[in-house]
Amino acid sequence: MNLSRDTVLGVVAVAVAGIYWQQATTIPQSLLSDAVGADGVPRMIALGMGLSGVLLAGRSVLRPAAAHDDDLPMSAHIRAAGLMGILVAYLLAVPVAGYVLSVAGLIAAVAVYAGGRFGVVLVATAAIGAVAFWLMFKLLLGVPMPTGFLTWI
Amino acid sequence: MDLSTLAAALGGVIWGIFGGALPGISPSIAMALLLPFTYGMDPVVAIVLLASVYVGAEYGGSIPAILIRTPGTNSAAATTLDGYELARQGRAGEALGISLMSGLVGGLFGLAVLVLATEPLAAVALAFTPPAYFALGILGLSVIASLSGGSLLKGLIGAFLGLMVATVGTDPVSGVTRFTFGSPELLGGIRPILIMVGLFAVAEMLEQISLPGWDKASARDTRLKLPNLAMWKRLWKPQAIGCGIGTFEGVTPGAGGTVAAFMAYNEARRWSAHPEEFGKGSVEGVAAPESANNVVTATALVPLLSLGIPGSNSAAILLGGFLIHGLVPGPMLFQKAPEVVEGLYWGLLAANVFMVLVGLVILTPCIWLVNRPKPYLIAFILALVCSGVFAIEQSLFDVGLVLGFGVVGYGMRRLGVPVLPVVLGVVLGFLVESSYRRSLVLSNGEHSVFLEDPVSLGLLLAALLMTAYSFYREFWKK
Repeated sequence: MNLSRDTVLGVVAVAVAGIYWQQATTIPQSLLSDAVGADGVPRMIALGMGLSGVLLAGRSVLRPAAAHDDDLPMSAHIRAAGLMGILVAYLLAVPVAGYVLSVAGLIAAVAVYAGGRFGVVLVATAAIGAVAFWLMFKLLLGVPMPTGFLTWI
Repeated sequence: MDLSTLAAALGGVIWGIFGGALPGISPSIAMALLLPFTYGMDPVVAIVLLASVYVGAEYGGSIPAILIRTPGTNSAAATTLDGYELARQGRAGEALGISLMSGLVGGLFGLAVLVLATEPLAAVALAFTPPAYFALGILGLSVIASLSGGSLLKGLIGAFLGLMVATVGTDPVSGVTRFTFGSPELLGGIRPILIMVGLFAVAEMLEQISLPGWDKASARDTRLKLPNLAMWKRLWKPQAIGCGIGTFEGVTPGAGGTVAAFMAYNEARRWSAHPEEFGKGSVEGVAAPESANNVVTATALVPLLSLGIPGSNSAAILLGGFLIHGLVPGPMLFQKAPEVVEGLYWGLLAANVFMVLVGLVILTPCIWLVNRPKPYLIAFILALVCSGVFAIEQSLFDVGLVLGFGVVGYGMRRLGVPVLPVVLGVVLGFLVESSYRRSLVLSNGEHSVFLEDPVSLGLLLAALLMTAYSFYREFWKK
């Protein structure tokens, strides 16, 4: 069965509303609580989200829209997932390798992944970029960036 | 005005534009970074320096919003809608020129209001009770229809998602934790800028990496283009709308430039002769929010100077600057230290002029930068985003959150959910909930309090009219 985008979105909205409502029921009650309570507004939001989802899904079933021509193929989503993989790897590398090495690696890896040719120019650009970012954040803005094993930085 | 004050205005504007253009460095953070250096300064120079950072940062946020679809500040979010569309059409120079000049118009108008009408406008700030704040938040949410890209239901889903995110953290009334899943990093809630950077910048890069082509502008289009007379004739109306709304929102403590920019965008579209262009690269869609958020940089000082009430984080930092030098903002400031107030006025005038001069120098190189080869551009944008986000709280958890919101943003694009209602929900969620519940505490649970307060009643009626019109357009007219 080929579901339309709006149907999928409606179902997702209802599911999110359901999970959010369930989580709202676990909010502890405080002695300082007011008449609405800490869970009152979240429950209203869940109801609004759920109702919007039902209306959208219902409308898409009763009045199907024309097929979208901007849908991307699965290969495009896989490419996006690959980029996210690089970013997650950067996130994991920063505490160990430190900011300068990690951000240099991030620049080089993303540039190659996006179609850049690996070579001296790319490596030099990544290295210069990383040092420039480090100088900007560490020296100019005074932000203590992670050093990793390069403790002398 | 002496040379040192002028130098402070110039330095503050440069620092502010730089900070505002970096995703994650908000105007208040840019100001806070300079605060320790103001201890040894002359009071006028110190206050002008901080105020100029505010002016520069609010403008600087629009540069990445237009060029790379990443609002540098919260209030630049509305500018991404048409600014980035113009950039994609190879009209980045034109969009930046309109943004710069609209910022100048807004800044000078706001300054005129500050100088001439501080005293009467201070009464507006005092008229705002918790019910009125709640109604103001509801009015802000009522512009969702304009930001929904043609589907009100999808806009509502986006707004509810934003409101859900806004409830994460510590409950504003009872203090219990909500939706933190035991994580101490979430106790203070999720900063709106993290959501914006994820939904705009990271999602955009995820999409770009999956597309084969790259819309590279021609060399002719990589230069800054200031509006000509014909363009000014088209821009005066959205700029006037932005100035009016920015004045109202600025003098209201807590409302801020973000709400002003969204409401100005909404009203500019409503009154435009070309409403169909909005969202597809409308010059008016850039002028209105940019005028509005730059008006706020001056009018937000009205409650600060006249009543001592800091209406925003940036105003609170400025208040810190006053206190460091033994100056207490409030009615007595005008009598005890008139030279400081006068110096601030002149400093703000200089800051707005310098904003244009600095913009003229840096904007063409900025356009050149974003026209570099796609692989390097994506790599450097992501490195900048990850570094800027980390710099806010030195937290890798925040970087992880941004990546997570990037995935959500990518999914929203695929499902056709507009992003701006999410932003509006996140920005207004706390204001709406805390004001709603405080109002009910004050009235012993009586909802009639929202109708008894005249300001609240007026704002709620305006919100009702706007919402009814949106529903009529969505369900009846179609």
